[in-house]
Amino acid sequence: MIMKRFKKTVILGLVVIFCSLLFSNCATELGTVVLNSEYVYPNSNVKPLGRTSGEWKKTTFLIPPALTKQAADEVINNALSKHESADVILDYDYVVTLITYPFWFYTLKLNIVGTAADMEVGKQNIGGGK
Amino acid sequence: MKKICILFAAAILFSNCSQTFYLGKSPQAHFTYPNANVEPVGQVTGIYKKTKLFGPPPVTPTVQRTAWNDALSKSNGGNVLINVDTYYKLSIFLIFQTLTYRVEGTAAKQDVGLQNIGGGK
Repeated sequence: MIMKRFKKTVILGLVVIFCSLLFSNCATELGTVVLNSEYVYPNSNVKPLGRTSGEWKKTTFLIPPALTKQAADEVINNALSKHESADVILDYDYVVTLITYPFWFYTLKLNIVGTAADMEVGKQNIGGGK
Repeated sequence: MKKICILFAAAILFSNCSQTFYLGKSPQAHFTYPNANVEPVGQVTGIYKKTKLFGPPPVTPTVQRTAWNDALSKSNGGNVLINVDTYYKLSIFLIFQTLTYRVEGTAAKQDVGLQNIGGGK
């Protein structure tokens, strides 16, 4: 009877450990503030359109996902797509998160939050100074 | 046995390992004056390559400037580089380590003038 109860407790303990391993994760976050996603021409009119955000996410097994140009472009395009005629994201928070799950699963997340703006490039009169 | 050893040594000798890292996008590589007109002149690529024994060649401002200048030299009158994607590649062959620093972006022509700012105090 005691042996049976002991066996049950051990199995329950193992299940708890396995579940905590399965659902626990470790996230490393790194971020910075970026002024502009694209070059802003001095000979342009820049008009803010409102707040926007973008996200990109990839999960891999064994080897953590690498930050690629495609990923960096996708997160910006995702944020730009939320405002019609937006060309550039200004003053945005850029956060990179790497989440490590048990059993060698990794998720890399890119998040941006900033101001979408429309940029109309023209020509300024720079011959008029003293 | 001797043949296998020679084959193994040759495989190690002629194999190499290289990895490319994307370092990100910069809106501009050079300062552009607010009192300027900037006009894009085309897409360009610039490369800096250096091999060193034992350790990887370091990335210094000289490396960056050489790659940017290489890109600009391929443009039609461009003097600034904008929307620049940067890649770092390290190739290892025995004791030789080669750094390839590559930039891709838009070459632009900056024409600096004077704005009329005489209206303020």
